[in-house]
Amino acid sequence: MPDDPNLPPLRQQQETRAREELAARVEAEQQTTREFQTPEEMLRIDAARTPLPDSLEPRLAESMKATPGPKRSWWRSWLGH
Amino acid sequence: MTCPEQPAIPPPAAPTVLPDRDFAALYTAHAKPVYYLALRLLGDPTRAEDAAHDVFLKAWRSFDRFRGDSSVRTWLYRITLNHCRNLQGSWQQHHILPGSDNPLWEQAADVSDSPLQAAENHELGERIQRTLDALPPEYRELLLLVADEELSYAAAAELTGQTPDAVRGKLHRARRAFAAAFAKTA
Repeated sequence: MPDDPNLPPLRQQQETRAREELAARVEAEQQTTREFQTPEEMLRIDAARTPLPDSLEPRLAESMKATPGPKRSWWRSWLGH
Repeated sequence: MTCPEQPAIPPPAAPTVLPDRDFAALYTAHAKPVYYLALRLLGDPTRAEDAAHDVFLKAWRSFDRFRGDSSVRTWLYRITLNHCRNLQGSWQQHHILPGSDNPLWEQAADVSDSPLQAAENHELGERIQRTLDALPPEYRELLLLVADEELSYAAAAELTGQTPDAVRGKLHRARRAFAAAFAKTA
């Protein structure tokens, strides 16, 4: 909406700023509020956003070194070799 | 569109510290979903990390006994479910939740069939956790398993000890119970 030329300059600035703030607020809400059709859809988004702890892999590596591993390669067992 | 003349270039392997290359590939493919399942079943990141560690260590020990009757994901989820159920056993003895056959859930399920609306921000995970914590364990497990698109209904049924038809029926009620419980977390 164009500014009203009959308004004093200060009032025009205030109205422009108010409109910009409202537009920014609406845009922010549209970006963050989302509609999920099912709980599973929501859980998938949540799962994708959930990071794996960085410490898990090195910790597992240490435990694996201290643990007797499988007797045969897993893919050999899988293929029945 | 595919171009058959162009040789397929395998994606570069992610750097790993795991001592076995085959097991490292398995870890890379399944660690995130296993951790997420444990996180939402246990509700605590530290306990979930411990559980995921133990699950993969158990998988490593029994690598040679995995016969491929089910998918690797199903196999790992079975270990995760059993592990988390054992951990929760003592907790649930002190915090009894109404089971999925309780009429309370039927009443709650009537509240909403409309889509779930939520802000996609850092609070979403907290709201989801509070919602799952309020559900009967059977509904919680079912929703988390079915949410994984790599898992079939048949696999979800197998993991929860039900028929695929029973899973479909319970899933409908679980969705409505989730929606009702989620609305209360706003």
